[in-house]
Amino acid sequence: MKHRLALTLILATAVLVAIGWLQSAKASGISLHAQGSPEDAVQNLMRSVRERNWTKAQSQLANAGQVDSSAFVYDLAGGDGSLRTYSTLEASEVSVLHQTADDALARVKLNWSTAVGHISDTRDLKVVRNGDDWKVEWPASQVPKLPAQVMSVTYLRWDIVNRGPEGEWGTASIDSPKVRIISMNAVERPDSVIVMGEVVNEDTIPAYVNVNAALIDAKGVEFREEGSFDKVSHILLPSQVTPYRIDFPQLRLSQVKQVRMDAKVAAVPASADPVIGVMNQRMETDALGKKLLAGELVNQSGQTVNIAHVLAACYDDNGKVIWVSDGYVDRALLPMTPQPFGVDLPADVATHVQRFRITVNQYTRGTS
Amino acid sequence: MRVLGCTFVLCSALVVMSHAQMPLALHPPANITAGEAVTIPSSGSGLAIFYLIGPGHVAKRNIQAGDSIQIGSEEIAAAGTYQAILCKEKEQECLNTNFYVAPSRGKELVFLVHPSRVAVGEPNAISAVAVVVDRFHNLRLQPENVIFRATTKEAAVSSPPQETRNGIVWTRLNSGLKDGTVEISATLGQISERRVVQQVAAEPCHLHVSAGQKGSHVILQTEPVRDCRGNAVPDGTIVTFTKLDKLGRSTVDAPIKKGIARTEMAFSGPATISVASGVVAGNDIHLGGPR
Repeated sequence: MKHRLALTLILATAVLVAIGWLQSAKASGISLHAQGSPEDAVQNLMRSVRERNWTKAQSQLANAGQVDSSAFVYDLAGGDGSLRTYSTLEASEVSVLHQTADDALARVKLNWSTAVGHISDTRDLKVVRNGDDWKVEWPASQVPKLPAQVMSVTYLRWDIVNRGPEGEWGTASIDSPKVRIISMNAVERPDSVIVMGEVVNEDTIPAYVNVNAALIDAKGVEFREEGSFDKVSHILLPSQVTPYRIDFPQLRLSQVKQVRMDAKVAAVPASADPVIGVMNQRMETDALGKKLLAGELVNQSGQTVNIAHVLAACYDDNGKVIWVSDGYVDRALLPMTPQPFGVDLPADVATHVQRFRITVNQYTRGTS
Repeated sequence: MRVLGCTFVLCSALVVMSHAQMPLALHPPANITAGEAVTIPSSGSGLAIFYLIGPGHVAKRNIQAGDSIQIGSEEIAAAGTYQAILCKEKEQECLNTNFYVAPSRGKELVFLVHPSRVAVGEPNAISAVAVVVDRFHNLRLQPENVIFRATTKEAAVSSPPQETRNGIVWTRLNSGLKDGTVEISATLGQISERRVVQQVAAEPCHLHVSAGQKGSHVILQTEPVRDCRGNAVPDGTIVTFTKLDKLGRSTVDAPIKKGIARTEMAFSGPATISVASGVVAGNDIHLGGPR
């Protein structure tokens, strides 16, 4: 009797420990059974990526031996102070596009939570059968390596010298740069009113620009005011043009009688470098059927650009700005290394776009 | 002896009574200048309180009515109308008088020149305003003669003396035809203030780009970018290079450095290159194929 009770307690403890282990293993994504489908294989891989467990993620690949560890981590975690280094994988949506007995093609949409909002990245991954398991075959990638070289750059920079903090009346100060709003268009979208257009710096010194719009109703009362926030290139060099866009959510255009525009301008220290070229600009349709403006960014300077922000202005056949779109590039721009980009374009707008112009904002660690 | 004593007592009483009945009065001088100490004689008798209320100063002090009141130079530094009030102590009776403190001689110039940057060849583009103030920053309302002078590397020009009206005098100047700085000064006697205006080139004129192939790249470079008067367009001005080929449109916004704008693009077959800066378009060139 005494032994039977002890035995029962030991057995019960063992069962509970086993259940607990199974539960904790499941919770932490450890596969205790074969990855029964290509979808499971991709999901498990993405779970490891979300946990930033790179060793485990790489061990789940079909071609683990051929994938360079640092390139794999660079691909998913980013590097060189890029936006990806300030991102975490929030969720992934997997769909299998094609499957045979031995391999499959899965499309995964990675939703990254970044310092500047959500960014989606869609990849098509090959998944292969490995016994009872399915494993992802990771496309070969490499950490970008630049040949050692010396690039001579003629730096151009503007500094501002003020007379002092007293602000004595009558002393000469620097005039604010002359900046002009050259176009404005207000359009209605299903969930908002968007005010957009372009601003030019007509001066010979750099300007810090922020564009604000105030909406006025039929009674002449100003009822909403918003700024362009990051949907404008804030630093404008002489003769430079930037698109701007101001969103007014939850509003109908019929509520607006008038739009009052205001560009806040200040003289600021600035640098003319780095110069970023926007190459091979084209309108295309992505894997999900969405219209986008795509191309490659080329950093023509010798310093790494950590975060690039693309702004695109689209024009109709009358040269009117009908859309302004923007997007962040989550890879750093290494010198003279093309980096692809794409910014979304609503399908109904894309049909009216006759011409577009793409500009690039940049943020480099340690500089303004 | 007794009679003398009575006479003294009677006289003293009469004196006291006459003083007690003397009304309060203040007699400020007609001309008072800012920053110069002044004495205001008063009449009356007994203890009194003196108040001075001015544009930049308020004071209160106990005095003996009938004495002269000393106003220090620092108390009337601000020009304008002052109010002097004399009140008998422990009584409701007060006397109130106003006097004007005029600004002293012009000692400083406040010199406003606008704009700080101007395109060359603009008529009446520069305004210069001089305001004459005394050493306490009071506006000097009396007329003073101010001379304006504009100096560039090449030449200097002076205006005849111009008289201030209500303390202000101004002039307008055309911007020169050559870029560079122009120093504008205003002179009042020995006092001079100067400001610097940057004269900058106007819009680019005859923007011209040339291309040279280097391996798989093409180097695009403008000729020195100048305005129609031959002035160099300031460094930093953006020049947009555009290449149109089978892969699409490629653009580079390159700043002018040392007078020219330059960039490099990949060459992948026949392409048309164009260049523009602001509203000015330059020449087109066709590379790698028939025109």
